[in-house]
Amino acid sequence: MKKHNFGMPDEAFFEAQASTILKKTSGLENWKLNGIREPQETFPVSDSFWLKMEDGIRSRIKPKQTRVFQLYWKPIFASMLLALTIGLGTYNFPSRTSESEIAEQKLEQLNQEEILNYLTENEDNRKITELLAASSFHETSVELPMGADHEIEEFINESNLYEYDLEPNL
Amino acid sequence: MPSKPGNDFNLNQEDKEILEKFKTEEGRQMAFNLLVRKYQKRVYWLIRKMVIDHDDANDLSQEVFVRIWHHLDEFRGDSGLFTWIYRVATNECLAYLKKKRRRFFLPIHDLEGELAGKIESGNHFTGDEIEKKLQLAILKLPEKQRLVFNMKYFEEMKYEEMSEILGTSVGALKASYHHAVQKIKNSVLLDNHQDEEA
Repeated sequence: MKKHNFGMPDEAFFEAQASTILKKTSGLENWKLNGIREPQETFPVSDSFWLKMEDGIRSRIKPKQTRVFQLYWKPIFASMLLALTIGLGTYNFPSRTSESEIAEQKLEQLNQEEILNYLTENEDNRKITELLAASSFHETSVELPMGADHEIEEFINESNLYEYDLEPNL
Repeated sequence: MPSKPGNDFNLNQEDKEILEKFKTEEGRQMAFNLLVRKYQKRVYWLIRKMVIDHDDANDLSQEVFVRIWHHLDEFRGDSGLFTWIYRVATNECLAYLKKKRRRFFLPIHDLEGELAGKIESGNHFTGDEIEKKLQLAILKLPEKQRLVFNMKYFEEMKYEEMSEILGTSVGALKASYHHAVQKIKNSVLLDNHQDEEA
């Protein structure tokens, strides 16, 4: 062990040192400069200021909202969020069976003859539809009699649409 | 002159009544008015000593009470009401000074110089020479140390209460105050010595 070459101070030294420290710190603790007034006396403020300040504060505060909304908005929001999530989930993930799968299942239940009849019938319908689509109406020129209104009315009543050629223009 | 905070550690009866009334719809406004009247001066002087300018102190004090209006419901009564109010005020004050330093987009805005200018101009401070020297010496301290010094020196607040307000240990506050006193003593004595030599 290393031996120190200096003498150890005695007990009295430490007592004196503690006393000095305490004296110094208590001196700082209670230190006051002579002739110093309270800041209230050295920072000028008008007498009417305090009332003005009160008015200023009152004008800046708004009446509080009712506590009902403040207390329950969180569960309301949570419920809405849950409903929205369920709604979106249902909308985005309907039954996994697609329309083509349903059609396949139905067709499997039918016999072949029924299917052929259906196709033949539909083929006839298709041809008729094409025929009608290709047709167009003729421009019908009708010579209206010149005369009084009652003559025109009589003409319309007596005329028959079948008299005009409405056959498709194939 | 506002009374010193004294023993505000626990909720006193008057504060309890204010808080009870504030909880009711019909008594809220009245309770708040009572609270403002009771504490506005203490809050104002705390802030005024920090920002020096009267208009700034007025704006900040109003802001503190607006905050109290919005957050008094959250006060749990763990400390005295005034301790809580003082905490709101000190936070507001420190935030304001921090913001003011940054306002000019310069790394170090000479805020102390600006505040010292206000004291020396005589528009915001009417003290005599020694009082002016003390205020200028206080301005040289870091902001939190200024708060500690003002609370202890002028308001004679207990360290335990300051600890509640500032969230700092009693030991650290004692050390901070002693350092502050040492700096101020040196600064004022140096000024006096220079004056005598001149």
